[in-house]
Order: sequence, then C-alpha cells, then structure tokens
Amino acid sequence: MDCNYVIDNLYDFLNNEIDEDTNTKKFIENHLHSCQICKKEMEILVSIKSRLKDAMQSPSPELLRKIKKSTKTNSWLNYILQHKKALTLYATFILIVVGILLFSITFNKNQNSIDEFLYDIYNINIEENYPNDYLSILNND
Amino acid sequence: MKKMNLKIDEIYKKHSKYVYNIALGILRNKAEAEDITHDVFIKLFYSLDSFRGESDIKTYLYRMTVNKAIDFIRNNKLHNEKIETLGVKENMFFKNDLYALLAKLDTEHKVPLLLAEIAGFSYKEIAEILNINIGTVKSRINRAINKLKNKIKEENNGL
Repeated sequence: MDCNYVIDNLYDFLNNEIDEDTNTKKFIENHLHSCQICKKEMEILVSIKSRLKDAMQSPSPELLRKIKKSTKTNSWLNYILQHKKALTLYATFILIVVGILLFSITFNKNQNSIDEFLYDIYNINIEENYPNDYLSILNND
Repeated sequence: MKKMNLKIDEIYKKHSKYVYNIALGILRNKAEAEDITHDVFIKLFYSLDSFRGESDIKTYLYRMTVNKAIDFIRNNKLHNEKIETLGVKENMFFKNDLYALLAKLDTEHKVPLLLAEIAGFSYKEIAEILNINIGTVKSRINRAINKLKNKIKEENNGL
C-alpha cells in the first residue's frame, strides 16, 4: 500500500510538485530510505529525466540568420506590424477627434440654415422683432 | 527596430533550443521542427509590443509551438506516413531510443512531458500553456512516464 502511494507520487516528488504543507514529501523521503523497490523506481525515473535532457539537440546556426532575414524586409511595414497595438490606439483617437470636429462644423452649419429657413417660410421680420445682439449672431458678426 | 532585434536575439538565445526540441519531439523531423521554430519566432517578433512581461512571452511562445506542430501533423498526411514507416531504431533524428519512443506516444500525453522535461515548466505553467487543468496535466504526464518506465524495464531485463 505504501509503495503504490510512493510510486504514484514519485515523479511529482522529483519535480518538486508536492505541496510543502502536506506530510507527503516527508513520508516519501522516509520511505525511500528503507524501501529498495521504491528506490529502484526512483532510479528509473531519474534515468528517464536524464536521458530526455541528454537527447536534446540544437537547431542549425543558420536558423537565427533566416529569422533575421525574414524580419529585415520592408522596414516601414515592419514598424507597422511591430507596433500594431499602439498605432491602432492612436488611429482610434485621431478618428474620434476628427469625428467630433466634423460633427461640430456640421452642427453649426445646420443651425444657421434653420434660422434662414424660418425667416423665408414665416417671413419673420427679424429686425423688428429681435434685439440687436441676436441679429449680430445671425449675421455672424 | 534595433531594440526589437535585440529583444528577439535575447529571447532566441534563451528559448530556441527548447522550442526546437519540443517541436522535434512532436514532429520527429529536424527540418520540420526548424520550420516551426522559424515561424514561431517570426510571429513573436511582430507581436512583441502586445506583451506585458516575460511570462506572457513564454506562455505565448510555447503555446504557439505546440499548436503549430499539432496543426502541421493534422494538415500533412504525408508527414505521418513517412514517420510511421520509420522504426524506433531507424529513426536517426534522435540520440537515443527513449526519445524516439517518446515521440511515438500520443500527442496529448507526450506534449505535457516534453514541456516539463525539455523546457522545465511546472504543472501550473503547463496547464496555462495548454489551457487544461492541473489534474489533467498530472495524469497525462504519469501516463507517458509509465510507458517509458516499461521500456526501461524491458531494456534492463534484456528484452
């Protein structure tokens, strides 16, 4: 029973994945001191880990040169692709500002048109009925 | 631009060997593993401004490596046929039979083990990279380890 438990948790133990809070780590350490079967299992696991690391290979030295070559062309395009996030934010901000400007220009133009419209339709004699300061606004003084 | 190149050099120096070996473990072909490594670093180069820190970059780098390697297998039937005709001993891409045997495991079992043993990730980091829970990482790694253990025992018994 103990051996099964230890063997099931041996890989976690070797990889420091056992919680420090529990007694599991201490239990496994103590068990390994006295149990040859579990000690053998641990040696096998250590051998697996070591053989996997030994089998690692390096990519060819050419690879970094290929990567740098791929990122070198079209420097302005590279700049845009590298700074997509920042450029998107700036573009959004500029669009909002231009949108607000266009709206306010359009709104002012429409306001003047409304006054002229009213004058034409109702033949309102503005000069007689409105004070001078309103007239100056209408005439854009 | 120069800053970006220096940053990529730094990341390449730190991670290229692990990225390459994870791709190699999945694909079992050096040229294909190099292609994947190349593509991953190009993509990273153009996404560098969107990362908040080192751990974001690591997660992105290895997640992309695994996804690209798996997609490559899915989309390339010819690759799979070529690899299947190679026996464990004939597969000259691997320094030892154990690694060649690992490469023949199911992708879902070997990938977490590769991330743990090649790149040294914790279960928590592997869970984040693969978008699965920690319990699943543990059980898949244990499954892969048990298969490799049986191989070693066979070797020791002279089978």
